[in-house]
Amino acid sequence: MRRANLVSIERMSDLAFGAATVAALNAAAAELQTAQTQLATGRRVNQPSDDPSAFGQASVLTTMKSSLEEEINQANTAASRLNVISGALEHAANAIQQAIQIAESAANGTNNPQNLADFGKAVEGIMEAMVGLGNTKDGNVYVFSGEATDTPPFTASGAYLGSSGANVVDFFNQASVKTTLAGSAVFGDSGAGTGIMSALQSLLSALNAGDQAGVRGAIPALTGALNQIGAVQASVGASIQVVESVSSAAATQSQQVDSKISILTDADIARVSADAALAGAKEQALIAIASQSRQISLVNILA
Amino acid sequence: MSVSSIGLSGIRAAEAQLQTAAANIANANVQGYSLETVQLVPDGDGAGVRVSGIQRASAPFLSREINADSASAAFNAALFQVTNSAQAILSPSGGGDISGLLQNLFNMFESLSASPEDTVIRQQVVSAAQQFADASVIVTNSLRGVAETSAAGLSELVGEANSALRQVADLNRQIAAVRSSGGNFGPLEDQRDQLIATIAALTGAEGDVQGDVSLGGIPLVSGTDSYSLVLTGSSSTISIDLPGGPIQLPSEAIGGTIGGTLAGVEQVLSLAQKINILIDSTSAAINSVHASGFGLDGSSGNALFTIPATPGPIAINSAIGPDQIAASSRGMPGDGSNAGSIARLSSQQGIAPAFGLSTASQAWGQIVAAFGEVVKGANDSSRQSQAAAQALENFRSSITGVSINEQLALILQYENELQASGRVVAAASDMISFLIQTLQ
Repeated sequence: MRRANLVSIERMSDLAFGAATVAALNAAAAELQTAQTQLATGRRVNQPSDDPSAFGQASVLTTMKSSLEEEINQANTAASRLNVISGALEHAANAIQQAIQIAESAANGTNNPQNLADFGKAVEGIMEAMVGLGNTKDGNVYVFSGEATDTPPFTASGAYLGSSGANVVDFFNQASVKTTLAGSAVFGDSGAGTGIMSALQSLLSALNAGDQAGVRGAIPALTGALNQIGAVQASVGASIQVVESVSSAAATQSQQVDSKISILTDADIARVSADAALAGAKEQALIAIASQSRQISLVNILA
Repeated sequence: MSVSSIGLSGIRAAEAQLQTAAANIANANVQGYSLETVQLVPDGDGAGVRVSGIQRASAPFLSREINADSASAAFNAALFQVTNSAQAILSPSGGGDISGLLQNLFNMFESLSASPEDTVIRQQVVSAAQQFADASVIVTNSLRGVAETSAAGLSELVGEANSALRQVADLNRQIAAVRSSGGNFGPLEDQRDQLIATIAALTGAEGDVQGDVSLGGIPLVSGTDSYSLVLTGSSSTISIDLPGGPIQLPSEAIGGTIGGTLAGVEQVLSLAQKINILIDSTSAAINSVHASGFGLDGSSGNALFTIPATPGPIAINSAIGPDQIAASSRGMPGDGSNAGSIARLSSQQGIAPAFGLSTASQAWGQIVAAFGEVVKGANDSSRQSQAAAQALENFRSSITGVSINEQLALILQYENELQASGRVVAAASDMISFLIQTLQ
């Protein structure tokens, strides 16, 4: 024998019906407000309680992104300074090559004293230019003064006054580059008898004294100074590559972090739009139910 | 019993039922009103009917459960309200993005490490340090402000609860008097139930069918006596003023809006404490490295921040200007290695020992996530308890509430009873008239 399923229907008081309708309307309104906030901001997580774990992670990632952006700035600043240094070194190399040519011309045995004196004037100009290059500034910073960046590192005679250290910039990937150089390691020090400054002084003295043997003897020192500059140029070039690589890696990481933050906190606009539409429809339906329930009251039927 | 008397008893019964139905309809939308029904019993030898009393519908078990859920909802709603105000302070727009401002300071030190002689960047470092110190003051004061404002509202809530407790005791006295005189004390019980519900929502106290109210096992209303709640200890604890002396309630025993507000204040002060510990620890680490370096003016041994002895907001050292920022480890203007060391503190694990091996930003993430859980948990629990209370209320209402349609249907039934009883009386009268005429 089949038995019918009995469905229990509770009595519903008017007060309870009203309260239930209001509670359902409030819930629908809250859903609608949440969806509208997400649509307006484009973000699912606007405050810690929206999704505590996501907010906490996004906070850490935002800090990481800020740090990476600073790395990019730092790398760009370093690259800019290294390019200034590189430019100065290129000019210095050209000047040394000119000095070598002059020395070779002066040492070929066909020059009279006047010619040698003229060569000497040309070398004086090169010496002056070399001191100028040694005192190159990036903004207010003497880039060849080591850590004494507020002091011109070379005197007019090519004596070095800067420090033997260098400012080193460290990056997040353990890379580090020197953004200032000790000028004595690049241009030498006429006072200490080293480098191009000393070689140019020796050449100048020999030319002014009409000492062709001395001129010839200065050529190896000039060639050595050119090689020294070449080695520094290579090192600076490598540093430029490092900072470019740091900048590129930081930019890539920053984009990845951005993407993670977006996944954690951004709203799924399509889904939120659907939620908003659903919440709106629910609200309308509840209003209609509340309105219809009054019309079918026994009071109206008996009236 | 005569036919006429039987009919008259039916008329009286129908009249009483109609009066009760009318009262039910009139009070249908009165919050806390309970459905009343006329109790009829056979009269005399069973031929007639008599009104034995008016019965008030009640569901004491459901009422107790509803009060418990309402108290839980009120507790969590109050906890949410207090903590939600506090979490707004933690956002960048609230001025409390400690992690962002700290990272900005580290970024400035990193910039300085590349250009240690740059006076513009030095000024930016000082500004970033000032912003970080200012944020520590803003966050601390704002969170304390939220806690103090919330605690200030407690005295009004306690006063409201004490007033309701006194009214319950008074109603217990009135109910006893009406009960002994045989009157209808249903409306008084409705009032008492409403007041007990109010007390439950304010304090989490429980009431019973006799009108006694207790909190954490300690009586608040016993018969016709009521005992006041007293706010003590800078609005942080609650005592009950009993005849033998006040008894302090453990904080976990207090529920409802008052308990939720107390819990919220505690959470906010705890949040402020954690933030201050993080700020102070991080600032101490910065100070340590900073003091080991040299400023552009050759100065050394200077702390960047002044840190209070107990966790609290920091301030920038008044002796520090752009030239005193210790970027160098060796006292050379072009050496930014000390600034670099300070910048690298941003990724130093265990910088604040209270947060284990976390970096400063990770510790901040933990703090805001944990607090977000408190806010979210309170909101979710409040909604769940409200929904549970609403469902139970609907169930109770199906027992004690008034359905106007149902009462209208009953009125039709009572009208029929009244008319039929009237017909009985008329028939009895006709019968007597017939007998008199026949005998004459």
